Amino acid sequence: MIKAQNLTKIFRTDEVETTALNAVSFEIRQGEFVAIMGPSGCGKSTLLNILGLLDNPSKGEYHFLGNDVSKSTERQRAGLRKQNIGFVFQNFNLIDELTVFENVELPLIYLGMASRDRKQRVDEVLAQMQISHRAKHFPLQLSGGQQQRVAVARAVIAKPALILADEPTGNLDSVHGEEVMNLLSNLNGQGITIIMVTHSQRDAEYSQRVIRLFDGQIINENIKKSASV
Amino acid sequence: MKNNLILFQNYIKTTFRRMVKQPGYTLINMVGLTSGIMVFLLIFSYVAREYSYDNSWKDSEKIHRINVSLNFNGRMDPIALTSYNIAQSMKTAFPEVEASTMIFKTNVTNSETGVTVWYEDQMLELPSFTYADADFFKVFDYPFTEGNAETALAEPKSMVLSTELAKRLFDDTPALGKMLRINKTTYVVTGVIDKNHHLTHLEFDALVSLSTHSQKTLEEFRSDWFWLLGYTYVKFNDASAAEGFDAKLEQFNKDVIQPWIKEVNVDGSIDLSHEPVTHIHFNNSLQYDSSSNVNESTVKIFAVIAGFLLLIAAINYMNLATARSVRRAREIGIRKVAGAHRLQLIVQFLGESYLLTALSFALAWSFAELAMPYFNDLTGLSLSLSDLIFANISTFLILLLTFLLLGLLSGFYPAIVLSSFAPVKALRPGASSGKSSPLQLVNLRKILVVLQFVISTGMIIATFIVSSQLNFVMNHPKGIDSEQVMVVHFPRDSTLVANKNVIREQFLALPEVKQVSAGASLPGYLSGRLMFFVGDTNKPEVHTMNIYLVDHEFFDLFGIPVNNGRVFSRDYPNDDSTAFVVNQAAADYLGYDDPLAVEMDCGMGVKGKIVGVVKDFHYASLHSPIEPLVFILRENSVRFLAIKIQTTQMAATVEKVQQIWQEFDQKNYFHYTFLNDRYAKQYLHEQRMLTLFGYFSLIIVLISCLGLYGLSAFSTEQRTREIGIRKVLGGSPSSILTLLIKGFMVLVLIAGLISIPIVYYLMSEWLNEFAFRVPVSAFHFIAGFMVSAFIALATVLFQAFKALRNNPVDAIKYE
Repeated sequence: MIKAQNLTKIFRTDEVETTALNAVSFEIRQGEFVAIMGPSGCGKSTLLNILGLLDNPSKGEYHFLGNDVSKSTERQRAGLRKQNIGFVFQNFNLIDELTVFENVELPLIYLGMASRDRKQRVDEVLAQMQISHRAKHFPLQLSGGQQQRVAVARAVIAKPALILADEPTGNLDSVHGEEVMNLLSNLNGQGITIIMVTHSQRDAEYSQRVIRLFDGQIINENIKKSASV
Repeated sequence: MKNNLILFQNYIKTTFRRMVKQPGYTLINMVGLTSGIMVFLLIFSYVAREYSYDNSWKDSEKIHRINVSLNFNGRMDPIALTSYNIAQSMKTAFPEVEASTMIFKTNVTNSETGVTVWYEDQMLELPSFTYADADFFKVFDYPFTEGNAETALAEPKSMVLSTELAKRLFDDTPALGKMLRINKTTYVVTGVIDKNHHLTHLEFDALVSLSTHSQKTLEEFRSDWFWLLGYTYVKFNDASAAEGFDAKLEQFNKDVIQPWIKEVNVDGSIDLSHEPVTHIHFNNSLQYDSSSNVNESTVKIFAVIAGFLLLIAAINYMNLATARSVRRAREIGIRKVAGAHRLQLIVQFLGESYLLTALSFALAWSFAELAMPYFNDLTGLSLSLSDLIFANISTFLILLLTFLLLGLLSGFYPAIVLSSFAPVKALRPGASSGKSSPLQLVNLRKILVVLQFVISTGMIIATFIVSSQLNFVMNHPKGIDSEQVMVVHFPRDSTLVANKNVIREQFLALPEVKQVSAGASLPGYLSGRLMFFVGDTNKPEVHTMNIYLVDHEFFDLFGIPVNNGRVFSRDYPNDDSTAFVVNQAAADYLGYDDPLAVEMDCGMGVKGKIVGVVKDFHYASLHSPIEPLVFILRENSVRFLAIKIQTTQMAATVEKVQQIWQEFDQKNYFHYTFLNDRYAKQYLHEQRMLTLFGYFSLIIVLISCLGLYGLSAFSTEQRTREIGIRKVLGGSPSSILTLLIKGFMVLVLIAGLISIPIVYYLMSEWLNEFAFRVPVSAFHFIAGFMVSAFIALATVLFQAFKALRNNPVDAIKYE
């Protein structure tokens, strides 16, 4: 599903050049749950952004679903993104002015889905995430755990092949964190590929493989036999 | 398509919820946009009205007015009038003229006196009446509510009334066929027209057939090609005929008028020209033109102010929207991650600005309707917003275009900037923006703030200059004693004129009355003009000069000093036929070493020497220089009584004067005014302009400050952490205050400096309308800048103090 070859990302300012990723290569197969770990500033989020088609690498090749997307335009990337990728962020990133229902519905609107289908799909996913009773609430009226469940609902609403999660439990207490990890794990069980950036060893336990980064390079890949759900 | 609609619904929903959630921001934007648009609408209705003068006539492009220029002794006088012969020639000598008409007023010098009319035994008053020939309605297509255009002015002693006048005179009964008596002539009402159908420079209340004049009078009219009686209009059979018409007029002049000039042995000439009727309203270069004419540059100034108002309001929107980009960045990131592409986001942000603009337009429209009566009071006009818009498709289109442009102007830049944010950066906690660097945004905001303050400081300075000039003209010494001079308008009534001396004596018997003068001319009123034959009687020079018809008391009452010789005196019984008194300007103009040796003949039965030269005084407004003026003694030409009063009980004295007057005259309305009021009336236009400038400056400053307030709020909010750290490290309140306000005040200072040359140039142009004017001085600029800077300072200080009061611990926890 994902094939990264010598992915390099260099950030330049007037005086400083920082290599965030340095010739990183790896592959991820359909249905895998992969955790990316490493200390702050090691390039985890940069890698996730490139994998999520939010950013282009400076050098190297990135094949997503068999296409080389490393030099795609923003419009092409947006097209691929909305069809195939769902995102979960540490700080939830919900639109405060939209209700829970409307936040979850948003990707379907951009996909151009018909109104009735949209409603049915959103209802289903909200039920799956056990947040239906909060459909008409605004994000700021929810607890952190509930907000992250909404964010996960939004990430899966378009039935993506891949979910990228950036520190999904970083802003949650342990109980809510576990809830969210269980959700992700369930989704993985349904065949969705999950790539998760995390600091938490405990969260990484849910994954089947851990990629460890340090100073922009992969220093270690641990492959586990099965997910410890 | 359907999907776009759903997206649009989503945008509207988000926008509304955001507006409700952030009431302060919404309020600043709405108040700014709404007040800007409201004043724009008011000014627009005024400007649109000014540009629609004489445009609604059927075939208005074919209608032209004939003007003349009198040339004597190198002096050229362009005049909007023509002689009777010229008007008659238009009907016969030019095949391309389909129809022509002449109109003239009975009284051009004194528009305040009405004409007393009698209907049966009822005494009524017409504001004025105007003679028009039978073809008037062939040129000007007024709709008739009674009678018809073909016959209305065909017969002598016919009168056509406006619908308002007819209603006032006869209520709702038909006016047609009713008889009205003015002095000794009885007129029959032959038509009633809807005068309001056209907005025009033509000024009349009632039209009377020109053929009412006796044959003898008409013969007199015909005897003189120089006797400029009235306004002549032609309607060409084709609009293109106007192009070659100048050459034809010149040929006609050569063939017909010049031989006559030679015959009467006058050393001078008359030139004919024509101008489209649609140009008249903005033409101020002609003498004796319509009093409704205005200076186009004034209208343009107001149009520019209207544009500025919108620009300032749009700048506020742009500035606040981009300043708030930090807060919007996350939403943009989320939408992009959810699959939105850039164009969709541009549409979203433009949609937001259009939504707000539309709401503000709707609100502004309602407020403008409410404010319209007050605006009409200020301008002396009777404007109506809805009439204006729905009567004319082009004004409607201009407004629509304004709306579209305003929405685009406000929303375009924020849309481009905000939609460019890269989602990676936008979604990072505490993110600000993407491609456009914060520095670029800040710089653009600074430029826009400077632009706003160039405009608002400029408006304040301009208001100071207009105020100074008005103060100057109102208080400028007139050169005469015009205090407590009551002016009673004297009806055209031979019995009253015969009783003039008795009336005068009665007034003088009142202890408060110091002097009474009766004459046909008064300072502050339009003077007549005559042709004078000066010097050698065989080969005289011809000069046209203004004339005053006065009595013996005139010079004494107004305290006009004599520079040379004497004024009219009862010691010289032939003064009324052999003597002239001139002002210093006339003496200088004629250029003789000894003006008292100069012989003149004015063709009014007065032929003789200049017996005295009086000191110049301002007999017209300070718009024009003091023109040469010749005084002629004419005891029996009485149009005004000037009564010099010395009292602290003015109201009681006026009442006494009125009582005495009414003992002599019960047939006419009693009209009086005070000379100083009359003088002040000459500056009514400037007074209105000052009031409007004052209000507009206030609103422009208010809108600019709203923007500044919003910007300083955000800038302070963004610096909360910095302020906290500085406080913790021991920064003094004053050093922090300076830090917060310095940036804004530098912008205001730069704006002030930029506004100087612009305002200097524009206001010097405006002041050029006045022959007597104040210099544009440093005071105006310093005062204007101080006011602007003070208001700006107060605005940003308010925010700065708020930031200063915050607890530094909270500030450091921020982010």
